[in-house]
Amino acid sequence: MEQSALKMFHVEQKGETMKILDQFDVAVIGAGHAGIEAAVASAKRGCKTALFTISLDQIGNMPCNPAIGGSAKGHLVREIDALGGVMGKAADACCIQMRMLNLSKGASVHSPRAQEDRRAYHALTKKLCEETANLQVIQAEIADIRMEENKVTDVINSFGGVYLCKAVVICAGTFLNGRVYIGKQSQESGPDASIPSRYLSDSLRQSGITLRRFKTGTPCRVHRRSIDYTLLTPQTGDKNPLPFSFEHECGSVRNDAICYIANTNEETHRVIRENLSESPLYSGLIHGIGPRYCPSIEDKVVRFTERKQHQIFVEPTGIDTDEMYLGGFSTSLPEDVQRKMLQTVKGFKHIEIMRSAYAIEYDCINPVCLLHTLAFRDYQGLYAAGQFNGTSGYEEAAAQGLIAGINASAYVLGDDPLELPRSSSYIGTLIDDLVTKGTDDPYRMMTARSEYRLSLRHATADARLTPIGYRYGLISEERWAKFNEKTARIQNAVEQIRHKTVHPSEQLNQYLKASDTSELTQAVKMDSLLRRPQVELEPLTKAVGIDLNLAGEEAAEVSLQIKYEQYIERQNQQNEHRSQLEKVKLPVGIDYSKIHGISSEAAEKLTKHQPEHLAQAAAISGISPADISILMTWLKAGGATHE
Amino acid sequence: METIAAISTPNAPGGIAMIRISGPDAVQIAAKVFRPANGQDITRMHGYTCAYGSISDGETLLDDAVLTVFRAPHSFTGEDTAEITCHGGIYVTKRILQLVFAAGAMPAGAGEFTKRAFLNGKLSLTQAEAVMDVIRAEGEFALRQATLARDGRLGKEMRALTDRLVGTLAALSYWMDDAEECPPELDPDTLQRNLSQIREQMFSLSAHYQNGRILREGIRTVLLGLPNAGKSSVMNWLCGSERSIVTEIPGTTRDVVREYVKIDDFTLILSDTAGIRETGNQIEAIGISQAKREAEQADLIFYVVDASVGLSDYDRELLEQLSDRAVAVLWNKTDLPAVPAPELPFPVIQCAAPSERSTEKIFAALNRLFSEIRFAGVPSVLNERQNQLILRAISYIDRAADGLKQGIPLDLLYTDLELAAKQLQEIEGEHIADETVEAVFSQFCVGK
Repeated sequence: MEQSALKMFHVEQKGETMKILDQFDVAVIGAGHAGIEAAVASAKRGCKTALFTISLDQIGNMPCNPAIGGSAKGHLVREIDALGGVMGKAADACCIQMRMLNLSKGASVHSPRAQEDRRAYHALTKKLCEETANLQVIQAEIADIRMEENKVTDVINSFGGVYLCKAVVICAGTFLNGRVYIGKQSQESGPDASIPSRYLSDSLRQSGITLRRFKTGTPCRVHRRSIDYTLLTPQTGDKNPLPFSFEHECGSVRNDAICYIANTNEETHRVIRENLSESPLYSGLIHGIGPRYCPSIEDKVVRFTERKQHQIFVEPTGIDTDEMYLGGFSTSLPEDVQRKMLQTVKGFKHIEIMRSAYAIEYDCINPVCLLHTLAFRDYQGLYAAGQFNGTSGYEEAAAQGLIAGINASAYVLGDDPLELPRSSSYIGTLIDDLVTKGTDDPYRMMTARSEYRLSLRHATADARLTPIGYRYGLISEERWAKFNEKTARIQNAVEQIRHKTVHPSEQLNQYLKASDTSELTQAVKMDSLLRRPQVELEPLTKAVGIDLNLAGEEAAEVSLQIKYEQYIERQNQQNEHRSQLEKVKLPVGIDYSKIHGISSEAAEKLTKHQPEHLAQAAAISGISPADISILMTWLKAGGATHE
Repeated sequence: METIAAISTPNAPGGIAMIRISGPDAVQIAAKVFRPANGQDITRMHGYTCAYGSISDGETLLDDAVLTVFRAPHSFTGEDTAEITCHGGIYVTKRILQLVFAAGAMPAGAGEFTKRAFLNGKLSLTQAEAVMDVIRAEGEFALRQATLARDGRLGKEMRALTDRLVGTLAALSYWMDDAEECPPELDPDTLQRNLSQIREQMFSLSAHYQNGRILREGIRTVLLGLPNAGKSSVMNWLCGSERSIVTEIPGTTRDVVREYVKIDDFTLILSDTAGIRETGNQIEAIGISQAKREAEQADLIFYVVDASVGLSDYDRELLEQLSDRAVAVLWNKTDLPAVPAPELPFPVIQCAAPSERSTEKIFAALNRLFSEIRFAGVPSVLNERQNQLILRAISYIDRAADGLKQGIPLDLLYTDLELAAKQLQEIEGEHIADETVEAVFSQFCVGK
């Protein structure tokens, strides 16, 4: 049936001469979190850009949780902002509650999270796109991406209108052949009852792109008044919270919403178990693979039988609405069962469901067919980002969208492409994981995925990425100047601390004693003193009597640089081998079977994967260190140029 | 780039041996093990210069040596290089190499010096294929070893160890990443216990390496006993030649003398040591402390007693100290009017060293002491490199355990454990980060 959809589309167009409606440098398909970043970046960099969306009322939608950030995701948002992307600023502007997570667990895993007003976020990002020069926002369902000799030429909307373009970024989210399930009932649908994309999958398949099915789900939305909050645990925002954007001041975001925590109980679990046969997942109706990091409540109950309760996070979806989101409670059980389950939860006795929970199945690619630029390996001018690449989450999508947008425009403009190494960022790690290993379920970022965790603290995102953003024209001169001043102040302070010799004094020893650490008997370097876990920078500078001339968050940053320095050095030593390999590029189209000394298994796998550099080759299963050594020797001997 | 080291002279007894250390830290590492006679700062030596000095393991002098320093790019490999030339036979040279590893070098793979020389442009392009052949051979050998290891007992233990470490990482990662599910606080005591168990498992793996080494290289055997108990004549009996100087004067053997001896399918690396006794003689005192040191490193101790004199209090005291070691007591000089051998917790071999012809008695004792190793059927294919990786992993675990006590932040603790796991990853070829993520998903109820 799916195979015939595009044929149907073309039959419908038959007899009509296709009309060329417009001409663009870059066409972005989909205006979710990936599409917005891609389109705005491309337009800002000077490319005439189109942003296509099935509905203008769906731009920047949050069809799942009304929140941005969270563990590792907060890092991604800070990095997007550091590069000059949209998400950090938009999330700050529409924030209704802000918290820093993981505060007790070490600075590298501190992660900001914001509760968002989802309608405000939609309105703001829509307006932002509308106001961006070089960017046209167009409501259309793109049905076909056409190529000549594997090079993008144009896209066609579902009414046959043609838009010529040099590059396309696919940010189709969960729209491709979207099918929504509630219990055993299902219907064609995009997220939040939108129109799905019905033709584009076939167009891609006809071009030779392999698609697969993933699934994700979302919980119910319920009415604010139907919950007894006295039985729930409230959760408020932090005092004076740090915003996502490096351009925003501490405490500048709205922060007055309250979230609540409820709990399932054994009765809830009994209802779920009794109705498992009604689930499209457990009855085998859904074949798509769901996200392990965001399991449905029935998954949690089945897989973790020992847990007597699971948390439900009750979160407002905005200021001017009574819809409340039930985090942690996604399900695809039938609507009557949803009601029954919820009624067993303390405080939910009179629950009013406004939107039912559902599962959605959609087409996506296995991202190993992409390069680190997020371009398709086998096609020129074709890029992809977001859930279409097999990820989950707004932040993961936006991060990819930004890189794909930068690279699509670089392709058109003839600039150097941007490939972020793993050591640079969570964004680089995310993309490298995707294109090197692929993913078997919707990919979610975690701090454990990065071997450079200690140097990828959220607060260093600007130091790591803003120079890159500036190089690609996404950072204003004003911001660049401020950034350089900040960098200089921090560097200056760090140097001062490194070179300062501290002599024992009464005031200092008083402070040391009060901090439960040994007093000084002889002069030491100030940095060694600061490295003691008990010693903090501000009281230390006071006791020592120097002024480091730092503003806002900078003191914390300086202190962490010194305290983490030695650990980071060790971390980098361990990773040095990998970063060396990352620098050794492998040309495209090598016939590995012709390389003397390489095993036939390795040759076959390398020829199939066509890795971009040696580090990527080494990450392929079955490639031995000896194979890598041989490749290195072969490259050095000029092997690649003899091909 | 790692700094690597290996013995670059043939693995056979000879008058001179050379250890090559190559890489960015070569000279710093050499400075940690080599003590120059004139006290100069080794790290400031220029290329193409030498220093005379000595190499000691702790208090024990191992050998006199000459250190030659080459500065990049003017060396064979094109990197900073330090070459230690010593007189030791195989045994002493290997011990010096161990010191070099302990100072931070990694064992060089086969052909690795040549490969580096090639990559640094020191060899011509036509040699590339030869280099590839060497690497290929090494790769295939390593693969065969790894396959063997995976199927065997070692493989299982390795797997169990990796699983345990990954499990701990997963628990930490879950706790770090899953801020919102509010998992229960990690209990530092449980974590500490876990770490010490992991550490124990690592030690037991490293012990396999010792067993494997015994099979491959031989049993490090030391002859101990009071002066004039007849150690040198035992040595000569076992070697079938006049190797040690045998005299009637107690304390003749001041240096350590070594021989390789094959007894059936056992190989002994035999050292005769100066007799142990309290002494005022300076030179002999050095020999004696070396003897004690040798005994600590040995796999097997032949404790020689003069049967005509019997067991002295000093003998009893020493044997008590050796109660947890592999010891065979040689009740020597039974051709003289002899005291009968007492009951001892060790195998006792009655012999009259100078006139003995057969080594059958020795073989019987070896069989008893090393049966486990001998009949376990080559459990160990850990090689030097793998053992070094495990020892490194242990040092990371130790630091993590220390950090835990001092209350360092969780992310730093995690990094140390991850580094430990990475050492195992190099042995097993698994990707620890992926495994940890898998373990998080399979063991914990994650996220919302």
